Amino acid sequence: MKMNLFKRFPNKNMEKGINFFPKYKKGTAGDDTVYPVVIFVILNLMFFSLLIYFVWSSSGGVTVLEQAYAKQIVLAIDSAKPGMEISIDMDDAFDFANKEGYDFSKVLSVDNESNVVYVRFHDRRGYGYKFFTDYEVNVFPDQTKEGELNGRYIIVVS
Amino acid sequence: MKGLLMNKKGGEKWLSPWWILVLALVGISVVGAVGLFHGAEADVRGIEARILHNNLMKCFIENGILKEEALNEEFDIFSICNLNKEVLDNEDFYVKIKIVDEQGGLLRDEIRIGANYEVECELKNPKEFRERKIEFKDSPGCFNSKEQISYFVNGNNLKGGIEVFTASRQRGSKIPLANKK
Repeated sequence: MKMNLFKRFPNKNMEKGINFFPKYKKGTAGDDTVYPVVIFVILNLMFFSLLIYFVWSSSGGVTVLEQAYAKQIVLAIDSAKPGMEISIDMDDAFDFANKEGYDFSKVLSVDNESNVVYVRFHDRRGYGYKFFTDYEVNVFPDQTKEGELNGRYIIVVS
Repeated sequence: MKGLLMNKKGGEKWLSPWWILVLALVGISVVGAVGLFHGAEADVRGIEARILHNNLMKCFIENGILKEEALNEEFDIFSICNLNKEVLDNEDFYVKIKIVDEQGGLLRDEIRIGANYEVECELKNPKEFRERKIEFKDSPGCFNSKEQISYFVNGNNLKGGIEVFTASRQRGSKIPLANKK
Protein backbone atom coordinates (compact mmCIF):
# COMPACT_ATOMS: atom_id res chain seq x y z
CA MET A 1 0.00 0.00 0.00
CA LYS A 2 1.51 3.27 -1.02
CA MET A 3 1.70 5.82 1.67
CA ASN A 4 0.85 9.23 0.51
CA LEU A 5 2.56 11.60 2.84
CA PHE A 6 0.77 14.51 1.35
CA LYS A 7 -2.45 13.20 2.77
CA ARG A 8 -1.10 13.72 6.27
CA PHE A 9 -0.84 17.41 5.67
CA PRO A 10 -3.41 18.12 3.09
CA ASN A 11 -2.97 21.27 1.13
CA LYS A 12 -5.15 21.68 -1.83
CA ASN A 13 -2.72 24.00 -3.49
CA MET A 14 0.15 21.53 -3.60
CA GLU A 15 0.78 19.33 -6.58
CA LYS A 16 0.96 15.63 -5.97
CA GLY A 17 4.27 13.84 -5.73
CA ILE A 18 7.66 15.02 -4.56
CA ASN A 19 8.50 18.33 -6.12
CA PHE A 20 11.69 20.28 -5.54
CA PHE A 21 9.95 23.44 -6.54
CA PRO A 22 6.47 23.11 -5.06
CA LYS A 23 4.10 25.55 -6.60
CA TYR A 24 1.97 27.56 -4.31
CA LYS A 25 -0.57 30.13 -5.07
CA LYS A 26 0.40 33.53 -3.81
CA GLY A 27 -1.16 34.38 -0.53
CA THR A 28 -1.42 30.76 0.60
CA ALA A 29 0.50 29.21 3.43
CA GLY A 30 3.95 28.07 2.38
CA ASP A 31 4.27 30.27 -0.70
CA ASP A 32 7.52 31.70 0.67
CA THR A 33 9.10 28.32 1.32
CA VAL A 34 11.36 28.11 -1.71
CA TYR A 35 12.74 31.60 -2.19
CA PRO A 36 14.42 32.01 1.21
CA VAL A 37 16.12 28.67 0.74
CA VAL A 38 17.28 29.52 -2.77
CA ILE A 39 18.64 32.85 -1.55
CA PHE A 40 20.30 31.05 1.35
CA VAL A 41 21.98 28.57 -0.99
CA ILE A 42 23.15 31.33 -3.31
CA LEU A 43 24.59 33.35 -0.42
CA ASN A 44 26.35 30.26 0.87
CA LEU A 45 27.81 29.62 -2.57
CA MET A 46 29.05 33.18 -2.77
CA PHE A 47 30.56 33.12 0.72
CA PHE A 48 32.37 29.84 0.34
CA SER A 49 33.55 30.73 -3.14
CA LEU A 50 35.16 33.82 -1.65
CA LEU A 51 36.64 31.73 1.15
CA ILE A 52 38.12 29.19 -1.22
CA TYR A 53 39.46 31.94 -3.50
CA PHE A 54 41.09 33.72 -0.56
CA VAL A 55 42.76 30.58 0.73
CA TRP A 56 43.81 29.48 -2.74
CA SER A 57 45.34 32.85 -3.56
CA SER A 58 47.09 32.97 -0.18
CA SER A 59 48.41 29.45 -0.46
CA GLY A 60 49.64 29.93 -3.99
CA GLY A 61 50.86 33.48 -3.63
CA VAL A 62 53.41 35.44 -1.71
CA THR A 63 53.50 33.22 1.39
CA VAL A 64 54.53 30.10 -0.49
CA LEU A 65 56.98 32.03 -2.65
CA GLU A 66 58.72 33.53 0.36
CA GLN A 67 58.92 30.21 2.18
CA ALA A 68 60.07 28.19 -0.79
CA TYR A 69 62.88 30.57 -1.72
CA ALA A 70 64.04 31.12 1.86
CA LYS A 71 64.26 27.39 2.55
CA GLN A 72 65.89 26.60 -0.77
CA ILE A 73 68.56 29.24 -0.23
CA VAL A 74 69.21 28.15 3.36
CA LEU A 75 69.72 24.55 2.25
CA ALA A 76 72.20 25.77 -0.36
CA ILE A 77 74.07 27.82 2.25
CA ASP A 78 74.10 24.93 4.73
CA SER A 79 75.64 22.68 2.08
CA ALA A 80 78.17 25.24 0.90
CA LYS A 81 81.84 25.62 1.78
CA PRO A 82 83.79 28.85 2.19
CA GLY A 83 84.76 30.38 -1.11
CA MET A 84 81.69 29.09 -2.92
CA GLU A 85 79.58 31.35 -5.08
CA ILE A 86 76.02 30.21 -5.69
CA SER A 87 73.84 31.62 -8.43
CA ILE A 88 70.13 31.11 -7.88
CA ASP A 89 67.42 31.67 -10.42
CA MET A 90 64.51 33.60 -8.91
CA ASP A 91 62.40 34.19 -12.01
CA ASP A 92 59.11 33.70 -10.16
CA ALA A 93 60.17 36.16 -7.47
CA PHE A 94 61.36 38.60 -10.14
CA ASP A 95 58.04 38.46 -11.96
CA PHE A 96 56.09 38.73 -8.73
CA ALA A 97 58.14 41.68 -7.47
CA ASN A 98 57.66 43.51 -10.77
CA LYS A 99 53.94 42.83 -10.66
CA GLU A 100 53.70 44.15 -7.09
CA GLY A 101 55.94 47.10 -7.88
CA TYR A 102 58.56 46.00 -5.36
CA ASP A 103 62.30 46.46 -5.85
CA PHE A 104 63.75 43.04 -6.71
CA SER A 105 67.11 43.97 -5.17
CA LYS A 106 65.41 44.07 -1.75
CA VAL A 107 63.71 40.66 -2.06
CA LEU A 108 66.59 38.64 -0.64
CA SER A 109 68.74 39.64 2.32
CA VAL A 110 70.86 37.91 4.94
CA ASP A 111 71.45 38.84 8.57
CA ASN A 112 74.84 37.38 9.48
CA GLU A 113 74.47 38.26 13.14
CA SER A 114 71.46 36.05 13.67
CA ASN A 115 72.14 33.72 10.70
CA VAL A 116 68.80 34.32 9.03
CA VAL A 117 67.88 34.49 5.36
CA TYR A 118 64.96 36.82 4.66
CA VAL A 119 62.76 36.77 1.60
CA ARG A 120 60.19 39.52 1.27
CA PHE A 121 57.93 41.24 -1.17
CA HIS A 122 56.91 43.97 1.23
CA ASP A 123 58.95 46.43 3.24
CA ARG A 124 57.46 45.40 6.57
CA ARG A 125 56.73 41.72 6.19
CA GLY A 126 58.69 38.71 5.08
CA TYR A 127 59.76 35.19 5.87
CA GLY A 128 62.93 34.23 7.70
CA TYR A 129 64.74 30.90 7.93
CA LYS A 130 67.94 30.18 9.82
CA PHE A 131 71.06 28.52 8.49
CA PHE A 132 73.28 26.62 10.93
CA THR A 133 76.73 27.18 9.40
CA ASP A 134 78.87 29.93 10.78
CA TYR A 135 80.11 31.34 7.51
CA GLU A 136 79.76 34.91 6.35
CA VAL A 137 77.11 35.05 3.63
CA ASN A 138 76.57 37.94 1.26
CA VAL A 139 73.88 38.22 -1.39
CA PHE A 140 73.39 40.57 -4.27
CA PRO A 141 71.19 40.58 -7.36
CA ASP A 142 72.82 39.60 -10.61
CA GLN A 143 72.77 42.07 -13.48
CA THR A 144 73.08 41.94 -17.23
CA LYS A 145 75.91 43.71 -19.04
CA GLU A 146 73.60 46.68 -19.46
CA GLY A 147 73.14 46.88 -15.70
CA GLU A 148 69.59 45.54 -15.59
CA LEU A 149 68.37 43.01 -13.08
CA ASN A 150 67.97 39.58 -14.63
CA GLY A 151 66.04 37.69 -11.95
CA ARG A 152 69.06 35.94 -10.43
CA TYR A 153 70.80 36.36 -7.11
CA ILE A 154 74.43 35.61 -6.34
CA ILE A 155 75.18 34.16 -2.91
CA VAL A 156 78.78 34.34 -1.75
CA VAL A 157 79.88 32.16 1.17
CA SER A 158 83.13 33.14 2.85
CA MET B 1 -4.14 34.88 21.72
CA LYS B 2 -6.18 32.06 20.29
CA GLY B 3 -4.70 32.71 16.90
CA LEU B 4 -1.22 32.18 18.24
CA LEU B 5 -1.89 28.60 19.19
CA MET B 6 -4.65 27.37 16.96
CA ASN B 7 -5.79 27.54 13.37
CA LYS B 8 -2.28 27.66 11.99
CA LYS B 9 -1.52 26.58 8.45
CA GLY B 10 1.64 24.74 7.64
CA GLY B 11 3.35 23.71 4.44
CA GLU B 12 5.06 20.57 3.30
CA LYS B 13 8.74 21.11 2.73
CA TRP B 14 10.63 18.75 0.51
CA LEU B 15 13.82 20.72 0.77
CA SER B 16 16.16 18.21 2.42
CA PRO B 17 18.11 17.71 -0.81
CA TRP B 18 18.92 21.44 -0.78
CA TRP B 19 19.87 21.31 2.86
CA ILE B 20 22.17 18.37 2.21
CA LEU B 21 23.67 20.34 -0.68
CA VAL B 22 24.37 23.27 1.64
CA LEU B 23 25.92 21.02 4.26
CA ALA B 24 28.07 19.34 1.62
CA LEU B 25 29.15 22.74 0.34
CA VAL B 26 30.12 23.87 3.83
CA GLY B 27 32.01 20.65 4.53
CA ILE B 28 33.89 20.66 1.23
CA SER B 29 34.79 24.35 1.62
CA VAL B 30 36.14 23.91 5.12
CA VAL B 31 38.12 20.79 4.27
CA GLY B 32 39.42 22.32 1.05
CA ALA B 33 40.43 25.57 2.74
CA VAL B 34 42.27 23.81 5.54
CA GLY B 35 43.93 21.43 3.12
CA LEU B 36 45.09 24.24 0.87
CA PHE B 37 46.39 26.25 3.78
CA HIS B 38 48.32 23.45 5.42
CA GLY B 39 49.46 21.90 2.18
CA ALA B 40 51.12 25.12 1.15
CA GLU B 41 54.12 24.66 3.40
CA ALA B 42 57.31 23.12 2.07
CA ASP B 43 58.83 20.87 4.69
CA VAL B 44 62.60 20.69 4.34
CA ARG B 45 63.43 19.59 7.88
CA GLY B 46 64.37 16.08 6.82
CA ILE B 47 66.77 17.43 4.21
CA GLU B 48 68.12 19.93 6.71
CA ALA B 49 68.81 17.15 9.24
CA ARG B 50 70.61 15.15 6.56
CA ILE B 51 72.77 18.12 5.51
CA LEU B 52 73.71 18.77 9.14
CA HIS B 53 74.52 15.08 9.57
CA ASN B 54 76.74 15.05 6.47
CA ASN B 55 78.54 18.22 7.57
CA LEU B 56 79.29 16.66 10.96
CA MET B 57 80.49 13.41 9.44
CA LYS B 58 82.89 15.31 7.17
CA CYS B 59 84.07 17.31 10.16
CA PHE B 60 84.85 14.23 12.28
CA ILE B 61 86.04 11.76 9.67
CA GLU B 62 88.56 12.09 6.89
CA ASN B 63 89.06 9.13 4.54
CA GLY B 64 87.48 6.80 7.06
CA ILE B 65 89.83 7.90 9.81
CA LEU B 66 88.60 9.76 12.86
CA LYS B 67 90.35 13.08 13.36
CA GLU B 68 92.62 13.00 16.40
CA GLU B 69 91.20 16.12 18.00
CA ALA B 70 87.71 14.55 18.00
CA LEU B 71 88.69 12.35 20.95
CA ASN B 72 89.75 15.38 22.97
CA GLU B 73 87.09 16.29 25.54
CA GLU B 74 87.78 19.96 24.86
CA PHE B 75 86.94 19.54 21.20
CA ASP B 76 84.82 22.60 20.32
CA ILE B 77 82.43 21.30 17.74
CA PHE B 78 81.10 24.75 16.89
CA SER B 79 84.34 26.43 15.97
CA ILE B 80 85.99 23.39 14.36
CA CYS B 81 82.94 22.32 12.33
CA ASN B 82 81.91 25.93 11.55
CA LEU B 83 78.51 25.69 13.20
CA ASN B 84 76.59 28.50 14.82
CA LYS B 85 75.97 27.80 18.50
CA GLU B 86 73.03 30.18 18.87
CA VAL B 87 71.20 28.55 15.97
CA LEU B 88 71.88 24.91 16.90
CA ASP B 89 71.74 24.97 20.68
CA ASN B 90 68.00 25.49 21.02
CA GLU B 91 64.78 23.60 20.42
CA ASP B 92 64.96 23.87 16.63
CA PHE B 93 67.76 21.33 16.29
CA TYR B 94 69.21 18.25 17.93
CA VAL B 95 72.63 16.70 17.49
CA LYS B 96 74.03 13.61 19.17
CA ILE B 97 77.45 12.22 18.41
CA LYS B 98 78.72 9.01 19.93
CA ILE B 99 82.20 7.65 19.32
CA VAL B 100 82.87 4.09 20.46
CA ASP B 101 85.60 1.52 20.31
CA GLU B 102 85.31 -1.96 18.81
CA GLN B 103 83.64 -3.30 21.94
CA GLY B 104 81.10 -0.48 22.02
CA GLY B 105 82.68 1.42 24.89
CA LEU B 106 82.62 5.19 24.67
CA LEU B 107 85.89 6.79 23.62
CA ARG B 108 84.73 10.17 24.83
CA ASP B 109 81.60 11.76 26.30
CA GLU B 110 78.63 11.91 24.00
CA ILE B 111 78.17 15.25 22.33
CA ARG B 112 74.59 16.48 22.65
CA ILE B 113 73.34 19.80 21.35
CA GLY B 114 69.85 21.27 21.38
CA ALA B 115 66.53 19.70 22.40
CA ASN B 116 66.39 15.91 22.56
CA TYR B 117 64.20 14.61 19.75
CA GLU B 118 65.31 10.98 19.85
CA VAL B 119 62.02 9.71 21.19
CA GLU B 120 60.00 11.69 18.68
CA CYS B 121 62.18 10.45 15.86
CA GLU B 122 61.76 6.87 17.05
CA LEU B 123 58.00 7.29 17.34
CA LYS B 124 57.86 8.96 13.98
CA ASN B 125 58.58 5.92 11.91
CA PRO B 126 58.38 2.61 13.74
CA LYS B 127 57.71 -0.42 11.60
CA GLU B 128 54.06 -0.86 12.56
CA PHE B 129 53.32 2.75 11.74
CA ARG B 130 55.04 2.45 8.38
CA GLU B 131 52.92 -0.57 7.56
CA ARG B 132 49.77 1.25 8.48
CA LYS B 133 51.03 4.46 6.86
CA ILE B 134 50.54 6.44 10.05
CA GLU B 135 52.37 9.74 10.22
CA PHE B 136 52.78 12.18 13.09
CA LYS B 137 52.06 15.80 12.38
CA ASP B 138 54.75 18.32 13.19
CA SER B 139 57.35 15.66 13.86
CA PRO B 140 60.96 16.73 13.38
CA GLY B 141 63.03 15.78 10.37
CA CYS B 142 65.56 13.18 11.52
CA PHE B 143 68.66 11.48 10.19
CA ASN B 144 70.82 8.90 11.87
CA SER B 145 73.72 6.75 10.78
CA LYS B 146 76.57 4.69 12.19
CA GLU B 147 79.88 4.32 10.48
CA GLN B 148 82.90 2.21 11.12
CA ILE B 149 86.06 4.20 11.58
CA SER B 150 89.72 3.82 12.30
CA TYR B 151 91.41 5.94 14.93
CA PHE B 152 94.87 6.33 16.31
CA VAL B 153 95.80 6.14 19.96
CA ASN B 154 99.49 6.28 20.87
CA GLY B 155 100.37 5.46 17.29
CA ASN B 156 98.16 2.36 17.25
CA ASN B 157 95.55 2.01 14.54
CA LEU B 158 92.34 0.82 16.17
CA LYS B 159 88.84 0.13 14.94
CA GLY B 160 85.76 1.82 16.26
CA GLY B 161 82.49 3.42 15.29
CA ILE B 162 80.79 6.78 15.19
CA GLU B 163 77.08 7.44 15.39
CA VAL B 164 75.69 10.80 14.35
CA PHE B 165 72.06 11.58 15.04
CA THR B 166 70.58 14.86 13.82
CA ALA B 167 67.11 16.34 13.89
CA SER B 168 65.56 19.58 12.72
CA ARG B 169 62.30 21.05 13.84
CA GLN B 170 62.83 24.52 12.43
CA ARG B 171 59.71 26.06 10.99
CA GLY B 172 60.98 29.49 10.07
CA SER B 173 58.87 32.47 10.84
CA LYS B 174 56.85 35.20 9.27
CA ILE B 175 58.36 38.28 10.74
CA PRO B 176 57.89 41.99 10.74
CA LEU B 177 60.84 43.54 8.97
CA ALA B 178 60.45 47.15 10.00
CA ASN B 179 63.92 47.26 11.52
CA LYS B 180 65.69 44.84 9.22
CA LYS B 181 67.98 45.90 6.40
